[in-house]
This record gives sequence, structure tokens and C-alpha cells, in this order.
Amino acid sequence: MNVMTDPRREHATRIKPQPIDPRGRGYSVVDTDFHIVPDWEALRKYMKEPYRSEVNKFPPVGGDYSPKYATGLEGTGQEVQGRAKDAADVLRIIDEIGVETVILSPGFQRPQSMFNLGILDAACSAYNDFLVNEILPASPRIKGELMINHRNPESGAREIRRVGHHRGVVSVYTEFGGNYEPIGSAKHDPIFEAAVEHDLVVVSHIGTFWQQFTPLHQGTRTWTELVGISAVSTCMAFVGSMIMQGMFDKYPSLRMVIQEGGFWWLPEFMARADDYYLSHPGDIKLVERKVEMGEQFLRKLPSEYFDSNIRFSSQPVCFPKNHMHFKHLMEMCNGEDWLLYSSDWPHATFDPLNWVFHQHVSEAGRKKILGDNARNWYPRLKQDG
Amino acid sequence: MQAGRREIAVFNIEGEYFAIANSCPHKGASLCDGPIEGKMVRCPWHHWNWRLDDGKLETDPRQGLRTFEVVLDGDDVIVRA
Ligand code: FES
Repeated sequence: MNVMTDPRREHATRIKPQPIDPRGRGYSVVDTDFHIVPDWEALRKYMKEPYRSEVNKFPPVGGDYSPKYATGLEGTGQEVQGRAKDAADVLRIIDEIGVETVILSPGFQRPQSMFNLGILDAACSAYNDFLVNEILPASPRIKGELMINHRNPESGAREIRRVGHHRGVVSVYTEFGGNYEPIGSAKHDPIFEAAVEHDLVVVSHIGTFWQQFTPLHQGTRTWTELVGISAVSTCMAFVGSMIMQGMFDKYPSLRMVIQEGGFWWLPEFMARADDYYLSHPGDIKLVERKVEMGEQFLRKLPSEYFDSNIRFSSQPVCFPKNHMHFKHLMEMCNGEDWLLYSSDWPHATFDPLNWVFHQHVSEAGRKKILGDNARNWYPRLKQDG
Repeated sequence: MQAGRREIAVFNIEGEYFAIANSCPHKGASLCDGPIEGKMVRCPWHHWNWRLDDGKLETDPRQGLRTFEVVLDGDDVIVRA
């Protein structure tokens, strides 16, 4: 079959299109959120009994945690773009999507939502052993995030101290979702203590399972309400807890990365938090950390903690209809400095790096978002394999 | 298919040919890699369904992508740009 254009009858050529913008190859791209999902079988050998034999029988919470209801894609679960089970898969895929260095997030969000803390501890440790033994040594391009039981901060901290020193570990994974007390509360301090000790960034990623993604799940019917919209307000509440409960006053060097909770809400959040705080500062002295530290107020305005302590991974970035509004939002949210590129591969909201070139982002901003911001934020990112 | 600077996706659905711009207007996926459902192509990245006959988006037909006329001439498939 020949394909031609008419009237010049020029022959068209059959090509393999490259949908990832080739300009991305000119940058040393860091992807700050890419999910690896090993088989449970690969983790089982790292577990002790009774978990080794029983791990597949744990209560199947969130068995239907998948956007398939809303996309009509049966059988893919969360692995909509494919599945990376091992280091070879990861390297092949990041080459395809134009990424130089990847930070792997644990693909298992489901166990995080289980209330059986013993199983959760076992799953976390097995995942981390798999990561440091089988994945990170494969290439200095692959970095990893520890999976911890953040429901039990003491055991979460123990796990950080057990494996946090390994080369290639750069961060610690936690989730924001309807099943959790906001991570900013003082009961989580053992986790932050251990993370700071090891120069590890702490990540707060959207999580848990249908429908408990958010305390606002009551009354939702659709994926868009639940994951698209309500999760954003849950994220805002979690960030609010970090700032207002003095987490960054107690741990000034603690660095957070917020994932998949949006960020275009920042202008409202910053102005509103400052205003409410200035009008209602009387309860700050009662939060646990302030009692402990003998302080009455925050050390700075709520909005001022973003620059020093909080960054956002970029996925899923949303585009206003008017392209100029994107530019304004970037300015209002300090996007060129506060956004770190992430693909979220292989989830349904996968973000290729194309937007950095197709939207209003300055040349300096592209370089920062695609890599420099992450390299400057994660203290251990530069560590060699 | 590459024709000049254009990437065009050509589909043969049971002998009927359709040609549309290959790059998905959402975030730029390559539509020729998407599965076909009826006379629609489903974008491989975020599953927006594009109608092959008029290029419209199934969920919001106010949005569309460029379509091209296809004529058959013997063994040749001619795409009119
Ligand atoms: S790129 Fe086609 S639906 Fe997103």
C-alpha cells in the first residue's frame, strides 16, 4: 500500500512516531515519581513467617483500586501504561520517556491502607530489601524511595534507620488520604527525626483506596470527584497540618515533596493561611510541638514555609484554556522554582515532559523543572551508585 | 505517516480508510498507537476517544483534531492535505 499526498503526489513515509518531545533529550531530566511494581513473589523471599506464606491472603482491601470504572480499561489495574517489575524494565522505560534519573515510588499503595500493622511492616521491609538489593545497584540512574509503615511512626522510623543509609535511597514515601491522620501532626515526629538524620526528603503522595482517598468520599459517585477534585482538598489539609502544627519549626531542615495533590491552589492557600493565622494565632501555642518548644507563634508566616520546606512534583499538570493564564499561574505559584518534573508512569494520569515545551515556561524554567530543582532539593540525589 | 512536516495517522477499518493528525491535542501522544473502538481511536495515554470520521472528541465534540480526506486509487491510498 502506498500513501501519498495529493496533488503533488508526494510519497509519504511510514514512521514510528516519537510522541515524547525530542527537545527533552537536551536536558538531564529527573523524574520524581515513577512507580515500580514488583511481583509479590519477588518480595516474598525477604519476609519471615507467617507473612511469607500468608501475604497473598491479607484482606483484599482496595481490590478495585483502579480507574477502570471511569476509563473502561479492564484488566490493567493501575498499570495503564505498562508495568515495570525490575531494573531492566525501569531503564528501558525511562529511555523511552526521555528521563535520565528516576526516583522510584513504591508501587504498592494498597498495603499502606491496611490496618494490620504487622503485615504492613513486613510488606515495607520486604519492598525495601528488594529495592536496595535488586534495583538500586543496577544503575546510578535509578534512585529509590523507602516504603514505611507511617501508621506506626515508631516502626516507620525504625525502618528508615535500618535501610536509609543505602546508596541510591533519596526519600521516604508517605500518603495523604482519608484513612490517615494528617502527616503534619506531632505523632509522626519519629519519622521526620529519622528522615532528617539521613538527609532524606519525605514525600506525601495521594493514596489509600477507593473510596477512602479523601475524607470527602461521602457522597461521591465519580472518579473525577474523588481523585480529581476531593483529593486536592485533602492534600491542602495535609499541607496545612505540616505548617500550622509547627513541623518545620521543629525540623527546619526537613524537605517535603507533595505529589499528585495539585498546586494551582497555592495562591488561595498562601493568602488565606496568612490571613487566618494573623487573625487567630491564639491556638498555635497549644499544638504539641509548640508546647514542647515553649513557643507561642509560628516562626514565620504560613506562606513563607513553602520556599524553605515544600516542593511539588508536577504531575498531573493541568492547562487552563487560556494559555496566558498558565503563565500567570506559574508566576503566582512560583512554579519554575517549586515544581519538580514527574511522570507518574504507569498510572492513568501519566505526564510526558511535553508540557514544559508546549506551555509558557521560560528556558531557565525548563531547565529547573526538568532536573535542577530536584537535584537541588534532594540532598542525596547526587550520590553515585 | 510522515508527509512533509505533518504526522498523519491513517486507519484502515474493514476496508474504510480514515486519516487524522497523529498528535493528540491533549498531551501529544501518538494516536496511531491507540486501539480502535468502532470508528474511534482511543488515545494510548489518557484515553480520550477521537472520532475518526470528523475528528471530534467523543465526550466534548466542540474539541477536534484535523482530519484528511482519503481516496483510493487502485493500490494507492491518497491522503489529501
Ligand atoms: S495525550 Fe491523548 S488523551 Fe492525553
